[in-house]
Amino acid sequence: MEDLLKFITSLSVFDIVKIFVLILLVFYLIFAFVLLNQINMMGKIVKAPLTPFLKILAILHFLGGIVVLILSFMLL
Amino acid sequence: MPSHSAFISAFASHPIDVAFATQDRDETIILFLRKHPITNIGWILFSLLLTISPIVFFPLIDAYNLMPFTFPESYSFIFSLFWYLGTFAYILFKFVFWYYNVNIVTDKRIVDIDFIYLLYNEMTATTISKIEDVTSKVGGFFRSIFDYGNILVQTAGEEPNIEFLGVPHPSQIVKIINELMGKVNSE
Repeated sequence: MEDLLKFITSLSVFDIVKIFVLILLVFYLIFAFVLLNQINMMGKIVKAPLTPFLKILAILHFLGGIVVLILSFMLL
Repeated sequence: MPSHSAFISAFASHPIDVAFATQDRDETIILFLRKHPITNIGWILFSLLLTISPIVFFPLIDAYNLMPFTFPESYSFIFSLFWYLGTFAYILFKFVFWYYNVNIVTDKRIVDIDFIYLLYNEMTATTISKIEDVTSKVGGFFRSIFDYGNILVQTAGEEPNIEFLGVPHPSQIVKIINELMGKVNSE
C-alpha cells in the first residue's frame, strides 16, 4: 500500500497524461475494430461498388491506431 | 429507362453494380436511393473545421499561453496524430452511414435498409401489391432548390409503413412506384 502511494505521488503531470493517452488509445483501437466489422457487415447487406475500398480504409484506420499506440509507448 | 451506376450516386435507376442481401435471383432493382448529397454538408464542413484546427487554433493557444503548462514536442506530435486519426474516423463513419443507408425499389417490393448505430441495422420491406398510397413531401428552401424530400409509402394491414428520408427527385420516385403499382395490380 505504501509503495503504491509512493508510486502515485512520484507521478508527474506528464506521466498521468501518458497513462490517460494510452488508455484512450486502447479504447480507440476497440472502436476502430468495431468500425471495421461494421463496414464488413454493411458490405454484406448492401453489395455496393465502393465496399472493397471502404474496407481498405477501415483496415488502414485500424493499423493507424496501432501505430499511434506504439509511438505513444515509445515517445511519451 | 437507361441504367445508372450506383457507385456514389444518390439516385440510380436500373443500377447494374449493386445488390442486397435478401434479393431474389429473379428480382430486378428499379431504383437505388440514398439521401441527397447536400444533406452531408453539415458533417463535411465540420470535418474541414477538424482538419484545419491543429494548423489554425493550436498555434493560437500556444501564442496566447492559454494552456497552464507547455507540452513537450513528443506530446504535441502524438496529439496531432491522434487528432487526425480521429478526424479520419469521423469522416469514414459519416460517409459509410450515408453510403449504406439506402432505399431500394425493385420490381417486387420496396426495401428500406437503415444502419442506426454501430453494429445495429434495420431492414424493412413490403411487396408492391401491399402498397396503398405513396406520398412525397418537399418543404423548405434547401429542399425545393435541390429537389429532395421525404416519401411515405403506406401499406395495407400489418405491413409496416416505409419512409424514404431526404431522397432526390421525390416526385419522379412517386411516379415510378405508382407505375409499378399499376403494373402489379393489372397482372
